[in-house]
Amino acid sequence: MYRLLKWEFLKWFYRLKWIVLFAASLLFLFTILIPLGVFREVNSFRDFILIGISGAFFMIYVVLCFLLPSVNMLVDFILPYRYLEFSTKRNYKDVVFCKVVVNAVVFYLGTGIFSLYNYLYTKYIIDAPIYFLSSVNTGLSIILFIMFGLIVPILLLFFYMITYCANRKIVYQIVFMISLVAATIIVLYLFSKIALFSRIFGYVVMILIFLIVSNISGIIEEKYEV
Amino acid sequence: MSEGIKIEGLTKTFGSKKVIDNLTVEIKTGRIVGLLGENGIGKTTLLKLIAGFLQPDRGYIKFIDLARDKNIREHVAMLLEPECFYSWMRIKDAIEFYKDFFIDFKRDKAIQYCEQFNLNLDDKIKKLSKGNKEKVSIILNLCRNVGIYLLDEPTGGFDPRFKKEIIRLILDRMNEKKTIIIASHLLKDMENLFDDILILRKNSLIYKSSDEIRQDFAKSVEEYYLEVQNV
Repeated sequence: MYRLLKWEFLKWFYRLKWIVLFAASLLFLFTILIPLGVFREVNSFRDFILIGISGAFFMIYVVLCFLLPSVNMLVDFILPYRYLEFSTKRNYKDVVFCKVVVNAVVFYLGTGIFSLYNYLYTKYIIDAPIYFLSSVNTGLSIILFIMFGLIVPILLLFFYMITYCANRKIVYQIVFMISLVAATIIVLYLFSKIALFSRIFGYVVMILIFLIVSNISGIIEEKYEV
Repeated sequence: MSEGIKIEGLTKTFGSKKVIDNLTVEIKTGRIVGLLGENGIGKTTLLKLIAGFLQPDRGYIKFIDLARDKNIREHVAMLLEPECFYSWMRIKDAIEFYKDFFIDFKRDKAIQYCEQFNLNLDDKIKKLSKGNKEKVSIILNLCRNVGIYLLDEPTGGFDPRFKKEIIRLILDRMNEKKTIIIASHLLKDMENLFDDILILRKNSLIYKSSDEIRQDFAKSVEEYYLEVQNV
């Protein structure tokens, strides 16, 4: 387990280092522009810079939090690395668990960067237009993590495994994956009409995730081949 | 000499194409086996089936010396394509990866071989030349201490010196408890290494020892192969 975690973190350190460096550079730029008074006066240049920085941070945040957990969950089963990963005997329940842990770290790294930007923004730019700002509180971040760091990646992995094990043709896999995702969205939408964020909805989702995680491991052990 | 791998009625289909059809053969331990055949005949598929990378549609592969509870992938070292390594991996990262996930991996030996073949441990694998990438891959494979080694075209991009070194490395690994299966088209380079050859053909196979071919047919392995393939 320790070795799995170590390599999951190492993989993401190398994958994310440029994004994190880019975010750190933007934060640095932001903190040196403020003392220079760039943002104090209301003018089009200030708005242009703020829109640029806000846009960049939002983009980084979306990539880190919404897309990367799913990419992280799927990538080792899709790209050529799958041969390397497959050649090592692993317990796939442990693999999925380690990926969820790394997803949590990546997700909260994104939330941290975004919150730091918001903090600097509200602290130093008093007359800042509100549309440059959006906030992520703890409750919302937990819900977002459960959705995009846990449920969506595990569902996508489950769909991918069903599709891949049924047919190796890429066109079939893409069509089948899109169909499964669309069907899930429709079912969740219909279900949410009745009981969005209710306890029952939460329990049902958690039971489903538990069942899926148990089954993914079985499917990978028995059917997955590279 | 005991029977190492028993393959019985093995069949593998991809879509509508039957790549391996009802293959039955017994490969003994302590042998270096050359796996020969035309392109697309199923050599790589057979190696992947033995390695457990693919699962047969019908038939089975039995490892005689393998305890029942032992996982196949822990017992077999399959030579990986260099593209399988992560793009950020340096040679030393790949060595650490092997050390962490294969308990039978000899880290010090791998480092020693890399230094011997002028491979800089800090170099990224993806930036190496084709030949050097393959060197890294084969060094990592041969530094595992397992019962079965599966090498798919191991000497493709190598210079003559490394070809000789690889052959020496393969012979170093060899003892009566190990089996090495090598799929190769470069018969001139490899034929002296093979104890046995397994030729895959459309609806049949030939499994003979190299000595038998030389004595009974008075031919080299390459000449014999070309003859049975009607070239």
